[in-house]
Amino acid sequence: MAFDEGLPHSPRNPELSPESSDAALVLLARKGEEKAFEELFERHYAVVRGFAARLLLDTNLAEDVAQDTFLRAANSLETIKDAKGFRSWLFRVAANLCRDQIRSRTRRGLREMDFAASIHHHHQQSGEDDASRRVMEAMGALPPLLREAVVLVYYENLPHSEAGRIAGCAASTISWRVMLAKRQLKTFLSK
Amino acid sequence: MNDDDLKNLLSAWRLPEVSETVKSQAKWQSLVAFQNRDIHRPLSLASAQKQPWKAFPFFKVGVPVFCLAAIFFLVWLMINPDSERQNALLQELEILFPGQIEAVIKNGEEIELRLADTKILRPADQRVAVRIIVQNKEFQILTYSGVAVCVESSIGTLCLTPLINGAGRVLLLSENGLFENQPGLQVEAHTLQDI
Repeated sequence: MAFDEGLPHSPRNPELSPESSDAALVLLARKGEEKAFEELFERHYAVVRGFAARLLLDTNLAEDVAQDTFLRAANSLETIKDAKGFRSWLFRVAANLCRDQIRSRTRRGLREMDFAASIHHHHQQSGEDDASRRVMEAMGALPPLLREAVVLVYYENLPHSEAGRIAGCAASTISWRVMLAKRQLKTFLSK
Repeated sequence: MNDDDLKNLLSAWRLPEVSETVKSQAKWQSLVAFQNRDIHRPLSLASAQKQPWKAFPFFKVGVPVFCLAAIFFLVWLMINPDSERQNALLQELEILFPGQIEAVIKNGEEIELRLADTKILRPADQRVAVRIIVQNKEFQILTYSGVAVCVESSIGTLCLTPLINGAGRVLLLSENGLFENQPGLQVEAHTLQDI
């Protein structure tokens, strides 16, 4: 496919709108159209931040990850092979950044479950409800790879094949992780 | 608790609202990075001409991965369903990935190595070979007692956990209990004797 295929003629494209597809916006942004990149940011920031928050169990860290993800997107627009898959690309970058954060926590000797408990204690002041707290603790008790699979499949509603591409494994591995996670979550949440 | 109950419970996890201040700051930083980016850098024709192999990540990543896959494939070609040889293969892989192997799955011509996130050293007498035949398509799995394994088959995702009982026999558990053969779906398993 030619680089400009399907690209509107002018970077100041009057057709640029919230209805434009991600692929069209990525192509416009590659040509230097700032509004296109801004629209991509507006469209995906909250999703990326939510994805990271559920992986990291921490909204402050998730906001850092979301910002880093978009900084990388700004610098890597030309290297994104599949413009249609921009959202998946963002998830992949965010997932890698989250893994770095989790590794850093592990090096500091902080267990994920302890981390979830400490964050919950912090968030209690903000009136978080009991059901939400329980789910967060249950998710915090999962090993990071299982939690990642649950977030991709249950919270982001991605098919196992797509989740596998983001997590860097086969679809069957995602199925397997989801099955193990479900077993642990059911045990934890049935208490 | 069934899957729908679990989904309902999971949906109770609410995240705090996006802070407009934090979002504005992130947007501003991203737009500054966007304006400062070097738009010609990655697609530079000149640099691709100087070092054409750089335009083909296959040579940097693909070749080593292909070689590794070829070695695994050759090893698999050399082995027959003899449990001693399967055991030897698993031992070799355990040396390469100590405590990390969850399963080695042969699906037709494809071989998949599943590695665990955290290391768990498994005793040699817990090694199990599982053979699944789904509508004439065969999966061969080398794994350990107590490790759940899922495969994608033509009839959907099959998940089972082999368990070695006190008599040394392998029981196969599915999510619904003890696994039973059905028309078009046959599963057999045996332990791998240490050599």
